[in-house]
Amino acid sequence: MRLPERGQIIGLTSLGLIFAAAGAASLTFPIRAQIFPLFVGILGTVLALAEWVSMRRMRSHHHAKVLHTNNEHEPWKPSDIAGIRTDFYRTLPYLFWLLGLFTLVALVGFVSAAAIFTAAFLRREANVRWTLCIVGSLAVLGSLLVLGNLFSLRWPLSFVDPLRALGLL
Amino acid sequence: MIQAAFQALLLLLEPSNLAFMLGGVVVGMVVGVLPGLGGTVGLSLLLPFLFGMEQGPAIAMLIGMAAVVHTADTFPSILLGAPGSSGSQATIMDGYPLAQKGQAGRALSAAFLSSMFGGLVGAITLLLILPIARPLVLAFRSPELFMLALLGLSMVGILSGDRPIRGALMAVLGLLIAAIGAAPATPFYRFTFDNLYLYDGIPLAVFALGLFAMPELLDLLVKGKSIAEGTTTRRVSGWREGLRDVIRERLLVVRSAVLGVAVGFIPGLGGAVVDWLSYGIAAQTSKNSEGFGKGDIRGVIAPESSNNAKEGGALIPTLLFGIPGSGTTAILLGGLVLLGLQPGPRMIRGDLDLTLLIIWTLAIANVFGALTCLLLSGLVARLATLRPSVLAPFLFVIMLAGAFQSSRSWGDMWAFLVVGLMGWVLRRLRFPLPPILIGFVLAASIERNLFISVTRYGWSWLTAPAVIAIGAITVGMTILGVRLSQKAAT
Repeated sequence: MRLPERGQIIGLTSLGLIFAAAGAASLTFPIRAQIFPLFVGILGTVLALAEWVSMRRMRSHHHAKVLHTNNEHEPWKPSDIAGIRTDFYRTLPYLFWLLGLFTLVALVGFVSAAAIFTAAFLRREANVRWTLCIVGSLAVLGSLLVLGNLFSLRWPLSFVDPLRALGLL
Repeated sequence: MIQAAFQALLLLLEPSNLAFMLGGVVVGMVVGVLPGLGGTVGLSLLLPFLFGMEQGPAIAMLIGMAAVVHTADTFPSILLGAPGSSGSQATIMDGYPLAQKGQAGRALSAAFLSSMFGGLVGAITLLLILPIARPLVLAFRSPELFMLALLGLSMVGILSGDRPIRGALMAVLGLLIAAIGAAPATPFYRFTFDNLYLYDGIPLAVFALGLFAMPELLDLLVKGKSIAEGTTTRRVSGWREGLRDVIRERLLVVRSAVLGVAVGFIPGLGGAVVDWLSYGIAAQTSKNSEGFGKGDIRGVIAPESSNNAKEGGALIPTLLFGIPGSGTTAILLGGLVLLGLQPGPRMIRGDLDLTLLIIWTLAIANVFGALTCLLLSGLVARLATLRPSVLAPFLFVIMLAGAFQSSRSWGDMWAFLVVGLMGWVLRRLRFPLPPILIGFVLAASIERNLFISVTRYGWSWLTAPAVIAIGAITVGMTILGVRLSQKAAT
């Protein structure tokens, strides 16, 4: 799960540009709305620049031929690029699952979508028996209905909502 | 003060408050037991449900949850050799070897009892400090509070790893994201790109859930298999021996708890540091320390006592100055703001009863959490062996349900996704996430106090002695942090 130095530099440069743009944009704000974002924009740009310079200095001074990471004192390796690609490709299916849940919510309402999603995910990703998938799905359905009533929760509006049609919501 | 404390206790003992505290304790236990999730994720999950709740039950639920996470996270550390949260890493050193020797019950009971005592020491310290700190806190004006918030931010940056500037940069990113939406002092909308959803800014609950819970869950799923895979929950027995160990090592319990409170008090240090610090000191100062790392019960007692005591210490700057010292206290601070409270001088001036309610909840939840862990150990331990893919659909649903309650619009769900992706990418790039949340939460206080300072005192407030003193400490700490990190790098 590592990214090479280039990724960090791109990230830092992007952050620096975002801060600079925010600071510049705040100059057009009325004075009462301007002080805080201007302060943040300048501070952020300076810090991004300082971190960028610090990274470059570390490399040029050969403190280490590789960059030390934030939490682990492990050097970057050439295989890191492959690592992050693998990492991204392994995460992608779960992001699609989330987008699938969003689509379901828009189509059949949150509570029904949550129940269908739970059953499908348990079956496909966790390889759980059908009976347990249905039990899990019903547990989600029941919990959301009870919690919804108890805390007066509301759910996103959808194209059709079978539970609303049945008067359960 | 004594009368207010008594009234606060009566308030907590009301059935609705007690019920919500117990609800929070249960959620805290589940979150603590599940490896990978911690107090930050747990509080993020609860935060959206605060809307519309009364202050008493909501506070009881939040503190009840936060108080027991570091009690329940002992289960995976001892039984599976995997930390339940960042605060229980050191417990593995001796807890897991003890479990391998068939002394899991001894290790667990010692851990729960020392956690309970640690938590009580934290709550008592908070209670004792309140009357002493009150006059000092009340003397602080907007300029001093602004400078204190900056000090909090700079320390978070310094203490967030071996790259302090990067930590500070992340805190400033949190400030920038919090600037989205209506400006507080004037009817003007900033950085909204004409998007109606952004007019009110990004809700804290959506931000916290997206930033922490989503990347955490995605990472757990990518790991694929259960942390517990290949291990079995060992037979749990030997409870009484553990209780006797704690009584025998009572000085170690108290000493570690005091250390925990002190470390918790310093913004930004807490969490992952306190248990190692406590463990290291115990190993260095104990007689016959050669058994440490091989299954010495003192190696369990010391970190467990300090990580629970830390919560009381961390609440001191959070409640008295409105400075959160960690991701967890940042969310807690945001939760208190959502409930209409204003942590800082106003909290102990106008809401003393609720401040004392927090302290009582902290104390009682610790006792209840430890007893529940002792009673339900067999059942609770099994939770930790579940695969992430089994937990994921339930957690995804809870997260989305929670995110949607913030402003009850589709924008909440999209914002959750976007913030989650941002958190995931930043995590990959090794940018620390807690400072972003701390910056996000502190932004309102910083902007308000900066605005009041400038409009009321012009720029003359910059020459006030207290402002200069806090400024000097901030600069000194920053320089020290940079030098230390440079030394570490070489």
